[in-house]
Amino acid sequence: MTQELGLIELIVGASALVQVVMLILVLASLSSWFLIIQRVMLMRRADDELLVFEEQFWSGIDLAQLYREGNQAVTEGQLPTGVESLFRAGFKEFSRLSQQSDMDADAILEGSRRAMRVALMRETDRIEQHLPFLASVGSTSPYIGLLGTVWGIMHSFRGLANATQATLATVAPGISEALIATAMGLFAAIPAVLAYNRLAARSDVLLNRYETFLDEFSGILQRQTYALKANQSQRR
Amino acid sequence: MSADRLLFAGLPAALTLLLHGGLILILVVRGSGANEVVAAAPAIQPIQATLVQAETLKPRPKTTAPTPKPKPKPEPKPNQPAPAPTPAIESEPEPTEVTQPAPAAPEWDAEQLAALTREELETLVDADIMTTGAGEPSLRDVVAATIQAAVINRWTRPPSARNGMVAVLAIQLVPTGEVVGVGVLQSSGDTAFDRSAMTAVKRAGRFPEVAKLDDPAFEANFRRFQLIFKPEDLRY
Repeated sequence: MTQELGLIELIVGASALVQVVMLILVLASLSSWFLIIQRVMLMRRADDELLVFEEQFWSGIDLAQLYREGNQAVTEGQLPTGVESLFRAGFKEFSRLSQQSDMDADAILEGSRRAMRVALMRETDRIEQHLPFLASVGSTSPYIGLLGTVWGIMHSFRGLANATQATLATVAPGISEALIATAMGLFAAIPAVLAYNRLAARSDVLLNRYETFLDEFSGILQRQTYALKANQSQRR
Repeated sequence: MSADRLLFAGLPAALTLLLHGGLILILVVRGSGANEVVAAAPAIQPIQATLVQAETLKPRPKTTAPTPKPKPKPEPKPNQPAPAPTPAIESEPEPTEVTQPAPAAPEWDAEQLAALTREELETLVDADIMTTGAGEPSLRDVVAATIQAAVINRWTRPPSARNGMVAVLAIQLVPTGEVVGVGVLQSSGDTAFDRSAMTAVKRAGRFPEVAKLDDPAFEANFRRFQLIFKPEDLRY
């Protein structure tokens, strides 16, 4: 048999539903790879930012000055991300509340903690965005590929029923073309599953570190609040 | 910010496209390479269970070859009821015909293939008869072809069969077409192969077309003749 059975001929010769399945799988693979690369880049940047900021934060710098440095970036149009947004939300709320003399220490602390929680939620959303998409590509694309394969094999066997001579050569191209769908499904699914697991673990680690920072920072704020209130009551 | 967005959308997109494009390219190139291998595989030849008339070989009947089970029964038996009087070509699934796509033919469906093979068989027989140069070529031609087809249909090659094996069977008929003796005239060296050839002839059991021949023609051609079995359509 000298007939050429290239990949392209097989795909072009496939039935319409199999082609639709293949198209869906190609799109799924493309978008999942896009997201994988983007998420990994984002994750890496968030890690770097966290390291840099923590170094700056624990270097003994005045917190008001750190806040002002951030202000400059914000006025340039760069919104704070990661742990810096936590810091800015908490510090802003703290300074705003401590201006009001009738607030007691617990209320100030509670307010700034709440502001930081909100910022943490926003960060969580940002980091875990699109991860469910990877999970669903990983779990459904093998099934979609399987559907294409089963359909293609059904098709080629139905064609076989009309022929009186059952040769391997009459079914083989159909089955081969149908199996491409499964291969594509697996090709889309495997990296998506791997990346989902990896990214989920990494984002957990990152969010844990954010939470740790939140607790540490509220410890500092608590100390400052009580010092502030003690000063105010002495002055009175 | 806009540069950032460009980085987080453009780079993953570019990498994704690069990855998929490269993969498809590799698959296509590799696929065409594999095709060449398939094309270079040995062209499958039609089966050659050639019918040879025994008239030239009559002087030295069965003594020349190692015959495990010669069964010499030269006396024609009276009419035996035929166990399976189904001599026609379409009686059984035909493993020999379906596995032989003729080389250099681009596209076949199974029926064309079968028709072609049948044609080939007939031309083969024709050629044989021309070389032996016997009398009435038409009737003899038909009878020889039917015998050949009936035997081929019932022949199951054992897994030990290899290309290049040749087994010559001596077959004895009575004028009704009954097979009264089958012996191995020249062994292929593989007893399983010899036995499979003998089983094929015994399963055919009776060739009713022989009864149509008149006596001299029968005596000259089919009282005792040889069948050469070559498993040429095997791939290994």
